[in-house]
Formats: sequence, C-alpha cells, structure tokens
Amino acid sequence: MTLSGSLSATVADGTVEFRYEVTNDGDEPVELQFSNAQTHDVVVFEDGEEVWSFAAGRMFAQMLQSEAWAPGESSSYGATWADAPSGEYEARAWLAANDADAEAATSFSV
Amino acid sequence: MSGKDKHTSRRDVLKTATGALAATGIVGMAEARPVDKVEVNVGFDDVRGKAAVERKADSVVREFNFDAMTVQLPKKAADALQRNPSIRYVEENGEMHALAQTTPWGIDRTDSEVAHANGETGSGADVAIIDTGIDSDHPDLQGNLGKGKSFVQCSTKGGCRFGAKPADNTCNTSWDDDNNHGTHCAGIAGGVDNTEGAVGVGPDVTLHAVKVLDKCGSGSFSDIAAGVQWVADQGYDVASMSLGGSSSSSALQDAVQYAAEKGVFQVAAAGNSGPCSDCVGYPAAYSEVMAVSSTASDDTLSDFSSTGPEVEIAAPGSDIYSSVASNGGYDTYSGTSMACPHVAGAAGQLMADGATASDARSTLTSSAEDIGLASNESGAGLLDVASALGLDSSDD
Repeated sequence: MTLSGSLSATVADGTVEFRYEVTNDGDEPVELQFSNAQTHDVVVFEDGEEVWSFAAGRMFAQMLQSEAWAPGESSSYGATWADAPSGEYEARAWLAANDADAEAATSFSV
Repeated sequence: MSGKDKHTSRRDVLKTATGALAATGIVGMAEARPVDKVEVNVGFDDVRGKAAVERKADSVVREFNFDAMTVQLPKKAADALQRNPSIRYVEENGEMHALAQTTPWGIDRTDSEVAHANGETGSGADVAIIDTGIDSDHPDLQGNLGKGKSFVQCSTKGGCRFGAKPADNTCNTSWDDDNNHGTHCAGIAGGVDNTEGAVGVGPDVTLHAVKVLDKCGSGSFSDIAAGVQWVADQGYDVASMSLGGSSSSSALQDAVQYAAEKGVFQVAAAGNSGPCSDCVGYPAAYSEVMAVSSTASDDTLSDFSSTGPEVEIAAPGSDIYSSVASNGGYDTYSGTSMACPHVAGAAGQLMADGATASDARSTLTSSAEDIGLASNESGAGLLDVASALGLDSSDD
C-alpha cells in the first residue's frame, strides 16, 4: 500500500477546519474497499483523551463502496469542529477503508 | 482481398438490407412503445455516424472492430438513428422486443412476485425512505412518489470521496437524490411494476423521500432524528433507515420512541461491520427498530453483515439490482442497506391490508423462512413476503 496522508488544522473564531489529504505515492493503482459511506475520520485528543471526532456524531449509508486511485492521484477530505474550547490539542486522521489507513497527525491550539 | 475492399463489399450488402428494413420500421420492434428501451445492432458509415449512435445510446453493449455497435436505447431514439444518413442499419438484437423489467433475485427469493401475482402490491401504504433522497423523475419510481422533505442540502456539485462524484442527477427538488443510495433503496421497497428496470417488494406503495444524508451518504444525529420525527408527524406507516453508526444518539433514540408511539413501523440496516459478532449498529439496535441482517443469493449470511441478538430478520443484501439517481438508471449494490428496504416494502404490504406496526413486526418474524442461520445472524429467518401475507410460499 503506497498511500500517504497529511493533516492540517486552521483555527478561526473557535472553529477548527481540518483538511486531510491522501495521495497514492506509488506506481500502481490502489483499490480501496469501504464498508459503508464513511471514508475517513478525524479525532481530536487533549492530553491523550479523545475530546471530539468527526464520525462519532454522524451516521452513514450502509452500502459497500470501492474506489480506485491512479498513481499520483490524491483526495482531500474536510471536517469542521465548531465551538472548540480553548486548549492545546493533537488531531489524528485516517481513512476508514478496510485495508488502508494513511494515518496523519497535527497539533494545534485554540 | 484487402481489408478495405472487404469492408466496402460488406457495407454495400448491408446498405441494401437497410433499405428493405426502412420501409417497415425496425424488424421485430413494432410492439415496442417509443419510450421502451430496446437493444439494437447499429452499423454506421463514418465517425459522424458513430458519434450519433453514442449520443443516442443509454449504454453500449458491444463495440465491434468493424463499423457497428450493439447498444441499448429508447425505441424512438433507434427510429431516429434509422433516418440518419450516416447510419447503415439498425436491427433488433435477438428475439427481444423491448427490454423487459427485471425481477431481481431478492424479489424472487422473498416470494414478493408471488404476492404481486395475487394482487398484493402495497397500494395505500406510506413508506418513508430516510436516506439521501429519491430521484424525483426516475421512470421506475416517479409513479409511486408521494411527499418529500429535506433536512440537508441537495447538491451534485464537487466531489466527496476518492475521486468519486455525487450522483449525475439534477436537484429538481430539495429532497432529490444527490448520491444514488436513497434511490436504490426506494426501488427495492417500491419500484414500479412496469416495462423497465426492476420491480420492488411493494410496487404500488407510496414512497416518501426524507433526505437526511448528504451527497457523500453521511448525516448528523440531529438531522436523522428530525427526519424520523417528520415521518411520525405525517402519520406514515413505515420508516426505512438504511443507515447507521457504531455510537448511539440520545436524540435519535428519543425520535424512534416518538415514532413508535405514533405507530410507525421502523426498520434499519444492522450494519456492515462483518464478519463480527454482537456488532449491530444504531438505530438498528434500538428495541423500537427492527434490525435486518443481509443474505446472499445462496442463502448464506453476507460476509459484511453485522450480527447480534438485536437482529430480528434477514433479507437479501448482496448484489442487489435497483434504480439509481444517475441518469435515471440502474445499478447493483451490496450492503445491509439493501436488505432493509426489502423488509420496509413487506411491512408496507401488511399495513396496506390493515395491520398495525406491531402486527406487521410480529407477522414478519413468525412467517420468516428458516434458512439454517444462527439466530444472531438472521433472527427469525429470511423475509418471506408471500408467507407473511398468508399466501402459498412454496415457490423458491
């Protein structure tokens, strides 16, 4: 598996916008299988404790999906944490695919 | 003989034949209506002819190395091609007069077609599809559409996952389907019995679109709870929820209790976390909601299906053919999402005949067919629509 991920967090007026970018760095196409409509998650930790998650407050269509990525192809996913309290945080993002996670992390403060 | 000579001589022969056909219309298609989809072999002279075929075709079945293609298209489009000077011939492919409606394996396996043959079609039942919306002008659904309500925006712009695009559909209404999932589920529960596409479990139920999931197939607890509340307030019979998550929502739990008190039959997909045990998601795991697991056409449990003590019934969910929003077409999808609306359509059938939600729930379980799966895998067994309606269901 040749997927790499990167995560950025932009803070403005207590709202955190996450952008999670995943790229196929390899020379071969990558096919990913998803169990449902969830493609990714972004989870925020404070002192190692989970304080927010993109997926935890949502539900998803329960249909299998598979998607192919050409070499060099990338995709970008967003998530928004509104009304974030002040603090120092670490965020982690990963793909919800059955066979890849392309995990990425970033630190930020509100 | 050079390739060019060979080509020319074939073309001359076929041109003669085309002239003969033109006088009487396309052979064998006289019975097809203009809107019926037909499969034809089309020969063309040049790239302009080929482009004309590609423009008219709904789908290309085969491209030959010589100047011809096999395509599916409405009969009126085939007639138009026949008048195009760049087209050498249009002939019906094989014996088919018009592409007949498909009876998907899930309809056959649950003996829904036995119910239809006995006049049980769900007429008068109100079935709400709480999902990504329903394609408002799909030829296989339009005749059954009732009201719609949207709690999230319909938008077919942009992307959402892995290079995939939202449905190729127009947001004619706020509750139109920008994903395809809701339209697929609607077709399973209540696809119209006509000359195309796929027939649903209850082909005369009234389908109501409740859009709570966005173009990527995801929705917030609050939006889903609001959708359930709306269905309850409308007094509809059935709420079909082909959605789920691993964490519970107090607001959604309150909403399903509210709907249950108002007499709504609620059914949800058990989830696609399989193979796993004791892993039924929410809202399927709530006691007010009937949890549905998924089977394949050989009566095995679908490998993706979640299982657990909350599962009450199993229904077909692997490789299910139904309507999609993109271009008013059809596609084959898999998931407990596809199992759920089979049960919703069946409950609609029972409630059309006067059953209450709780009657329908107990009848569906007591009439289910034992297919040898464990109770945490299939609950009472496989959905049997004919048996639930008191009809002979000895048909496989």
